[in-house]
Parts: sequence; structure tokens; C-alpha cells
Amino acid sequence: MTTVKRARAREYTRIAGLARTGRAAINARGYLILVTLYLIAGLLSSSMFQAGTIRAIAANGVPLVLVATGEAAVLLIGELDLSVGAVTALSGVFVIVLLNHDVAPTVAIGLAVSAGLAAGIVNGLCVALLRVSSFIVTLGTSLVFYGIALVGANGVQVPVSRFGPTTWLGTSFAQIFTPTVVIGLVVVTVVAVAVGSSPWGRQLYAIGGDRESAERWGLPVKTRVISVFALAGAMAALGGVLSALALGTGDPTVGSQTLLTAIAGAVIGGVGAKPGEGRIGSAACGALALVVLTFLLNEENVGASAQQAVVGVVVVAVGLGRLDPAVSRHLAAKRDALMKRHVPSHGPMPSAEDGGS
Amino acid sequence: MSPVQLASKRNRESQPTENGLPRSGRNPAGAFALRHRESARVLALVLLIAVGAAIRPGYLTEHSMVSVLLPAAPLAALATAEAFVMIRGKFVDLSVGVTASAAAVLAVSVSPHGTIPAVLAALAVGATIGLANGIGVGVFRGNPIIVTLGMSSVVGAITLAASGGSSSTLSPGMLNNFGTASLAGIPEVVLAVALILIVTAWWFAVSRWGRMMRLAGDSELGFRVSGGRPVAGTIVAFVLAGLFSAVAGILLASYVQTLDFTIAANDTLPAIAGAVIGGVSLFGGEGSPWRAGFGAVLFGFLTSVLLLAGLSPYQEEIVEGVLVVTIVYLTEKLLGR
Repeated sequence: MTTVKRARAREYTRIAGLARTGRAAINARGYLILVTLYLIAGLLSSSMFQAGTIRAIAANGVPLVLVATGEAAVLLIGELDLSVGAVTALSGVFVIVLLNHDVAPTVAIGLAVSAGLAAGIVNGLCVALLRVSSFIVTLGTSLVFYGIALVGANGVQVPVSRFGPTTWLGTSFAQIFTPTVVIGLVVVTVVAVAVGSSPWGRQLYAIGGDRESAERWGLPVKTRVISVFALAGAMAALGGVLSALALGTGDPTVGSQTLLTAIAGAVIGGVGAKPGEGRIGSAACGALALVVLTFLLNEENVGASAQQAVVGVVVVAVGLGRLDPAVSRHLAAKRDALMKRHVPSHGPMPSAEDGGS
Repeated sequence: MSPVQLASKRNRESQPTENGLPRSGRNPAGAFALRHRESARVLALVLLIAVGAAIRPGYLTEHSMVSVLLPAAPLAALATAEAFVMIRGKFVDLSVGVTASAAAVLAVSVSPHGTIPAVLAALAVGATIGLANGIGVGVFRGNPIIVTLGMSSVVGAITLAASGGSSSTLSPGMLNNFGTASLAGIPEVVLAVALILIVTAWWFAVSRWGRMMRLAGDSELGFRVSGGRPVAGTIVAFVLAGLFSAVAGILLASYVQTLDFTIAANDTLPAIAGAVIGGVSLFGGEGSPWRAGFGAVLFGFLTSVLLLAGLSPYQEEIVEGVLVVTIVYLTEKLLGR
């Protein structure tokens, strides 16, 4: 009897270990892919480890990483925000128009980010209170936000007339930093820690894992959903502002590629395949990996449309990735085998995947 | 809401329905809307035309009706494409607009070799894209939004590279004649779409594949348990979506004089909106091709009336976005889902 017990305990430990390894692999996926890709890039192009290159990649990547971080939080709770591209366009135009009207730079940036926050709250309200699927809501509001950006910009690109903030954001210090990079690092770290460790973040994981249970448990699901969409809106706006200031123009039609790449980055980082799983930091690294990939393709003189195709292929491939279902199926098979061996009358255990329709 | 209340609410909601429709006693307004949903849509169309006529007296003339219906025709084909995927269940295809653009560009570039090769090439590329989407979603169980979004990026890039970023013009021939001809005052493009929709709707209503897609969309688990093959239905739905996107592209190629490589890229959302307005459920199992087509026509009239009311195209975009969300909300709410 004790041998059976001991064998069973060993098996359980093994299964728990497998589950842990599987989850750890997903949680670290973004970091691993980023490091691997960077090393490969370093082999292909010797300039990858120079301070200037690192700074350029980081500075170019900040807007996308910010957008991807916000999108990852939305994916985490099992929703989707297709309006983040439109929000980057809207906030980019807004900040440039404000600067051209002699508003102080900090106030202009603050207002533009608040506009994104408001846009995110509108999305969140529609999703949480009206219970319309987030995909339709954000597809609709992206039309609205693009429309507002176009009205604000009169349908054309708005060039900035004061270059103060642009220059300041681009000044480099300590070899690899610019103010843009520092802002990006700080904001992404704060969001990643908040989602990963704060009570608010744990509630997000609970909501993503099983919304109905979270509701019955008494979690404030609606306000959490609204807060996540607000976060995504604000992050997208910050990304749009930094990108518009770096380029010196507010373009009311940008963003569709940013949206796609941000979703791709988050999914590469292991967020979005299954709600309630994945880490924000890993998602941010996934997005940065795509920036590195783009940089590498530029170095190799691959054209813009080929780059777009490459990103698309990556998105499809990652969207197809069945790593997580494969892991959970493997675990379920192990568990069933174990139960059959030790509890002969027991049939296969019902698994969550067979539950609903 | 306490757990007990929630549980009782859930039980109420999961009670059996009559004829597959939500029970009428629960929501009187919903029951009314449900009973009169077809007439409500026809009424909406009549009202829109009346408003248009009130704003501009010339709205009822043949010329302006044609100018509304002509762009609505490819949109109806796109909405039908979207309808197949939506009926199959909880799916949506974000690549229809880009697929239509690719088909249009291809049809134009093949058109010097004759109309039939051009049409066949366009249909083939549409079916291929649809097949790829269907395999990605059905066999590999990819998230349909992410897969089709990625696919649209790939197809958009290939179209851009193939067209060199410049716009092209259809060479004269059968396709061109078809695009500019009209029968009894109605453009042949519109007639062709109407004919295709009628035939497809009939096929979808009576055929085994149509029934399969509806049932699989209604309850995938139930369909699988009763011995159906949901994956086959998924692939067929996406291939049909690709084919109908290609039809939209061919129609666009036939009457648009200078063809841009992004011609239909922004028509995906209007297509989804048209299908939803027409009564195709985003949650699967409900709807038919003719409803999607009618919804697209309704959407076309809505756009034209908004523009008539003096909105700039940008403002019109804002109003359109708000309307899409509102309409989806009302449809789902009134039908009690």
C-alpha cells in the first residue's frame, strides 16, 4: 500500500512539475524569443551590439511596446481592443495640434494621454455595461477615433511647428538612453509589476481565467474591465504621442500596422493564446522582438511590403501556435493514465475543454 | 447580484426556446422586435429613402438610386462573405476587404488575356486565401481574428508588391462592358449581385452544406456529438468567404475606372456591419446570405443619407462607427441574447 501511495505521490509531483515547466515556458517566451533573435541578429550584423544601434532600436520600439503592453492587459482578461491603432493616430494628431497652438509640452502630452484614457473608458463602458462583444465595440470606436483624428487634422498630416519637445525626447545620455526610452521602460515596468503582483492584477487573472466564477466570487468585474480598457487606451495614446513627437508629424491615418504588430507582439510573448495566462513583461519583450526583427530586415534591405508580409506570417504562425493546448492535453492524458492505474473504476476525468459549447 | 440570484437568472436563460428563438414572454419589447424583424428592416429602408427624398428632392431619381446601389453591390457580396463565417459560429473574417482588393488587382492585370481567365484567376486567389484561413482556424484552431488579421497583412503586402503601389486600369473587354452596361436602367453589376444572392440563399437554405454550417454555428458541441464534422464546415465557410470576397473584387474591377490596390481594404467593417444589420448573428447559427445582402444595401442607403445630410466624409465615419455599435447592441439586446 505504501508503495502505491509513494508511486502516486511521485507521479503527482512529476505532473505538477510538468505543469510548472509548461507555464514557465509560456511566461518566459517573450524574453527567450527576444534574446535569441537579438543574438541571431548580432551574428548577421556586427553593429547590433553598438550603443547607437541599441539606442535606436529601443527608441523606435518604445511606442509599439507601449501599445502592445496595453493590448496584452486587454487580451489577459479575454477581450480584444482593435481601436488601439486609431487611438495612437488620434493622440498623435492631438498632441501636435496642441503644441502648434502654443500649449506647454507637458500639458499637451498630458491632455493627449488623457484623451486616450477617455477613449479607453468609452470602450470599457460599452463592453462592460452594454455587454456588446469587445471586438465589435472597438472596431466601431476605431472608426469613431479615426474620424475624430481626421476632423482634427483636416484630413492631412500635421507637421509640428515647435521642435523643442521633439529634440529633448531624442537627446541621448548614458550611451543607450533617451528620455523616450526611459519613459517607456518606467511605464512598462510599472504596468508589468501592477498586473503581475498587485491585487488589481490578480483580479485581472481571475477574470481572464473564468469570468463567471470571478463574478460569483464577488470581484468587481465591470470596473476591472473598464480599468483595463482605460489602461490600454492611455498606453496607446502615450505610444502615439511619443511616435508623433519623434516623427514631428501627426498623421491621422497611421496605426493599422501598429495594431497588428502590437497584437502579434503580445501573442508572441505568450499572452492571448488563453485568457488569464501569460505575463505582461513577456508580452512587451515579444513586441520588442518584432522591433528587432524589423530592424534586421531593414539592415538586410528588405522592402516595406516584404516586412509587412513577414509580420503577417509571424502573426498567423503565432496565432496557430498550439503550444498551450498541447501542454494541457499532455497533462490531461498523464492524469487520466494515473487515475486509471490507481483507481480502476475511474473513467477519464472531464476536462474544461469539453465543458461548454 | 448574489450567487443565488445569478444562478436562478442563468437557469431562466437556459430554458428551452421555441423554434430556436428566445422565449417571448420574458421581454415584451424583444418579442415584438423579434416578430416584426423582417418588416422593421424594410420599414427602415423606406424611412431612409423618405428622409433622403426630404433632404434632396432629386434623391428618388433613377440616377441617384443607381449611385447608391452601385457601390452597395460589391459591399453586399462582401457582407455575404462575412455572413458564411459568422453563421458558422462566433467567427469573423477580417481579411475580406484585402482579399477583394487582391482579387480586383489580379483580375485587372489578367484582363488583357481575356475575361474568363481574369475571373477564374480572381476566384482562385479568393478561394486560396479562404482555404488558408479555414485551415488555420479549423484544423490548427487558431484564433480567427488573429489569423485573418495576419492573413490580411500578408495579402495586403503581396498585393502592394504585385501592383507596384500604382493604380491600374481595366483593359477593354467583356468585363469592362459588363461593368458599364445596364439593363432597364439598372446596372448589370447590381443585377448580377441580386442574382448571385438569390441563388446562394436558395442553395444555403436547402443544401446539406448550408444546413451543416447553420447547425454547427448553433451549437458546435451538439453538432460534434451528433456526428457532424465541424472542421469541414469551418473550412467550407472560409472558402466561401474568400470566393465571395473575390466576387466583390471582380465587380469592383468591372466598373471602377482606375483601380487602387487598397480599393476594398477598408470595406471589412462595413461588410460586418451590413451582415449584422441584416440579421446575421455574431454568435452563429442564424442568418442567411440574402439577409446580409439586404443589410449591406441598408448600410449603403444609410451612408448616402448621412452624406446628404451635410456630413463630411470624416464626420460620416464617426457617425457610422457609433451606429455600428448601437445597432449591434440593439439587435443583440432586443433578440434577448
